[in-house]
Amino acid sequence: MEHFNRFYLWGVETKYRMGLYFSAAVFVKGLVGVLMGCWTVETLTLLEMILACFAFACAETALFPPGRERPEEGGWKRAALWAALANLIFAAGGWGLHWFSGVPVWGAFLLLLFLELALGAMWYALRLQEKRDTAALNRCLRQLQGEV
Amino acid sequence: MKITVEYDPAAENEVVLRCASLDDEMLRVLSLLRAELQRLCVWDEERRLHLLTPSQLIYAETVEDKTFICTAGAIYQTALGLGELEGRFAAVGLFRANKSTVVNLHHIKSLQSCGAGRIQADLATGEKLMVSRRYAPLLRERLGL
Repeated sequence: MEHFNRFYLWGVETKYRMGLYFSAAVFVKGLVGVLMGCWTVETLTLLEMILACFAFACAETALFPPGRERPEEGGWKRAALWAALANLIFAAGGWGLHWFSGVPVWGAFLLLLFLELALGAMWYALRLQEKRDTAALNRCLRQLQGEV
Repeated sequence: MKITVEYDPAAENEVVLRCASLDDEMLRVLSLLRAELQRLCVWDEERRLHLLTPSQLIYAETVEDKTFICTAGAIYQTALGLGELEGRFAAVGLFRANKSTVVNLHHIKSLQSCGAGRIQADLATGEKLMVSRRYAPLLRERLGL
């Protein structure tokens, strides 16, 4: 039962992450399609995208397991590996599986740049969240220290 | 609550609490006074006994089943466990930071939110302590966040 519970919790976490990346991938695919005058998305492309997102979500859950202590050292290595995997899975998927067929070379570079910006934005959001949390923690600490 | 300090050449300091009933505020003041009046029995390397006030304690740490008390100028050993220290002196700011450390919140210079839900505490002594993922939510609750 313990193994099943662990697997179930892993599934819940991975499913959430997969859904998040899949919605982003479908949005970009849809946007590029509309800009190129194509109003449909092939079911096979959607399946390929969801599998790629599942693979990336699995890798992310393995690199940053929820509910477990992670050693401070090696944090940057994990983040770098996460970014490299994102590039590998989505860039290789986009190019190898022709998700964006018909897009000119400059458009492909633009999409790659968008991917890097999205990864950077995720990192920035985490830093911003930590910064705001730190400010709130210190404000409440000063309050507590002033009480006695 | 009205606070009045009266100067009087008495032999012993005296605190008088005047209230209609013992409400939460008065009980908190009482527990603070009691905790601060308690002394912590510790010994140094040469096995000389010392009595510390809880506010002198910066942090306590267990190493190989022994509890060490760190103050601004020295390190002592005590017979109390971390759980007992936290239980007795929680009212004066002692808080369990992780499995092996209890820290005095009044000696923390700053806190820093870290990844994976942990919090780093920078002490006034320059040392850094990590509040583990397990105890970080309790710290947030204690701080009123």
